[in-house]
Amino acid sequence: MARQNERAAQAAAWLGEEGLDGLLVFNDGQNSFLDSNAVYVMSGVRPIGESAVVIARDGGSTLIVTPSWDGERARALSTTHRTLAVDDLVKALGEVLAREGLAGAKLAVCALVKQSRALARGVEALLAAPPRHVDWLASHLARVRNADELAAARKAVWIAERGYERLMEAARPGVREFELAADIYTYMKGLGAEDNFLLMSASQHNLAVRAAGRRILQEGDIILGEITPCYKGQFVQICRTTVIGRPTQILHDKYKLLQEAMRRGMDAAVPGATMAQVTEAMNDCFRAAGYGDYCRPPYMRVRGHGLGVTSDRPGDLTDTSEVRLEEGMVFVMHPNQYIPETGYLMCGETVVISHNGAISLSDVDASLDSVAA
Amino acid sequence: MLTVHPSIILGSYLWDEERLPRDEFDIRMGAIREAMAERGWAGVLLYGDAREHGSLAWFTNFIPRMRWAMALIPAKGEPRLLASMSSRDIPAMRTMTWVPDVKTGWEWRWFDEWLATLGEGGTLGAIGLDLMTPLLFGSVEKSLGDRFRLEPGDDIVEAARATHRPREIAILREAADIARAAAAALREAWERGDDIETAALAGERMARQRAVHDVRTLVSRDGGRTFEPYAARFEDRPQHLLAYVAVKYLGCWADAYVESGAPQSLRGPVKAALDGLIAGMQAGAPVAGLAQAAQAQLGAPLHPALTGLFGRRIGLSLSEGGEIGAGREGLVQANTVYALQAGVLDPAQGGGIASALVLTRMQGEPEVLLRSDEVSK
Repeated sequence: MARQNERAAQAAAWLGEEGLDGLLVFNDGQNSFLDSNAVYVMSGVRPIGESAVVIARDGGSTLIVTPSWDGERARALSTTHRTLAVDDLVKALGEVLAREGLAGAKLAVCALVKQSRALARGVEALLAAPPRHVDWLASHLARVRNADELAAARKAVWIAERGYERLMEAARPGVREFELAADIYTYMKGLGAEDNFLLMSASQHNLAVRAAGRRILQEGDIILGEITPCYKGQFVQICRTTVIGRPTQILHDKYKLLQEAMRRGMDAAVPGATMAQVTEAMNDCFRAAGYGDYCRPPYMRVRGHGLGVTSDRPGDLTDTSEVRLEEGMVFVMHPNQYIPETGYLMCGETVVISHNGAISLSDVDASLDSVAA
Repeated sequence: MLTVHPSIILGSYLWDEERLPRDEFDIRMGAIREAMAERGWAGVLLYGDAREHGSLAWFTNFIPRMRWAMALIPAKGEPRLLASMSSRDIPAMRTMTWVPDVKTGWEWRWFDEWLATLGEGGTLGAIGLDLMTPLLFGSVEKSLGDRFRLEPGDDIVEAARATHRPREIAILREAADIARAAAAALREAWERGDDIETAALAGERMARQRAVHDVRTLVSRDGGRTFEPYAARFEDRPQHLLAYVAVKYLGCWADAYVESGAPQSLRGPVKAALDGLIAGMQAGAPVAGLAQAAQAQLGAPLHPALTGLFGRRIGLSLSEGGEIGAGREGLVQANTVYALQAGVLDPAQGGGIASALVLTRMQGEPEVLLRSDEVSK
């Protein structure tokens, strides 16, 4: 008996409302910390290869994964009624559609446009009529984390904070960036992180954060860490700045600016507020300090963003996003910013939206830290 | 072997000009230039993404750490690389390729601007565009309009990459060394008494400390019957160890199975089959015959996790074609690194798999770069 999957049930109800017979959702096994994995949302399985979930209007659901040898794991994790493990997704999908009486039916597809053209062509050839594309559906249905997901997100933040502590212990002059990244990546994996979008780099005057390379840490370097573990399908992120040696006064002063922007952004992030309003609250801080011209790429990217794998909502924190916040949404807020006097600095937390504003999931919010030179 | 794709590729990733100098890429690009001249193409579009980027990396050294990238190669002049990253990240992207002109793919004007340099219209070669999403392909089509048409060019890449070049082989040797070290660390952790995932993590840590881009592991929680990706359960210690580790170093993959404590009834036929495969890897040998001989040595069906294959070419992709399996066509190529594998599954005893990385020569037996039973006890 499949465990209850509230999103699949909601999708089936939506099919009924829209007069559609079935929904097909896809994933190619590629994971993104910025994007929903529609198959994961509808089945609870992070697939290895090309995969699909078929949901009928009556609520019946079938997960199809590749490769065939992944069946045992998929069946153990899946919340769908049936799970198939095959080596040819399109062929199996055709068989499922025929068996479920959906071969000539009115169908919607989610995330097919994110798959390869080769797969999309194969799927489209199975369908009697052009499907309705509802690429927004999985991330929309999962836009508010449920209790289990929120608990997993909290655990992921706990892992991220332990990872940062490890970074503080291990960072010292002479260590290469990739050695430090290897240490904290595997350390967090040992704490339960199944994946990690870890960016970590250091320079005396950073232009942005990068993935770790061969650069050797030196006294005076400013280490930027975008620590992003995934625990039970919940990516979270904390952004930290650490100086090797004694930080300068100007660095302290400019970092306070990022902290203030973070506080203002959190206060503004109440249910009903738009992402643009929250972004502007943060940008106002920088404008007031004379850095208005730097509130755009390449000096920053966005002021925060949604987190895959479950749902990427509410999307990017930009000054043009009219997406409205809802209580229970989880995303990262990070007023990361290039400042001419100091270089790029990072400050960010994963937050959950409450009626009073954003609440950080971190035990200790970002401050300008230092380690011995 | 297919494993869960991570959200980002880590490790040292800069273009290493000492290992892969610009003139190496001039030689590689020669294949595309020649095809453009022969086929009258005005340019070539060469696509790759975080999941599959072997051809893109072969020509440009660029490996998309996430999302996609596309090389725009004109018949005359230097190429442009579009990377699907923010303009904030482009300076870092420039360090990953010899291509001097790197632009953000988030601003499509950079594609249109390049297209305008090709004149009024013509034909463009298309390499890897089947991997592209329909969404992105729609943008390409819109820009091409009715002035330019696409012609498939994947055959150029297949021909150019049919054998490994000397500098590629040198990197593959290093990758094999790292895979050996990772496999040894994994086995040693297991033999110290660690659970199978803690052991896998020890192997991964070893590889990451040596600057790999990527590490993929699979573990068997049930003595080699099935494989699963890392799930951080830290509780399984089956009757014997069987795991898989793949490492990617400077873009090149090397992989190995790791076994410890399997019964001789599993090891014996697996070793015999692998010995036979290695001995048979002589340039020009039909791959179907190799598979048939290996199957006879096994005396039992091939382990289902190996999906009917006794091997394939390995390099910038985990699977570069050249599959060795029953009914497969083709001959063993010289000067190419192959990943060989043999395994059986016994309902009572569990599973056993052994693997090898071999470099084929023009004549005679191949050079063995890594044998899993070197690191298994």
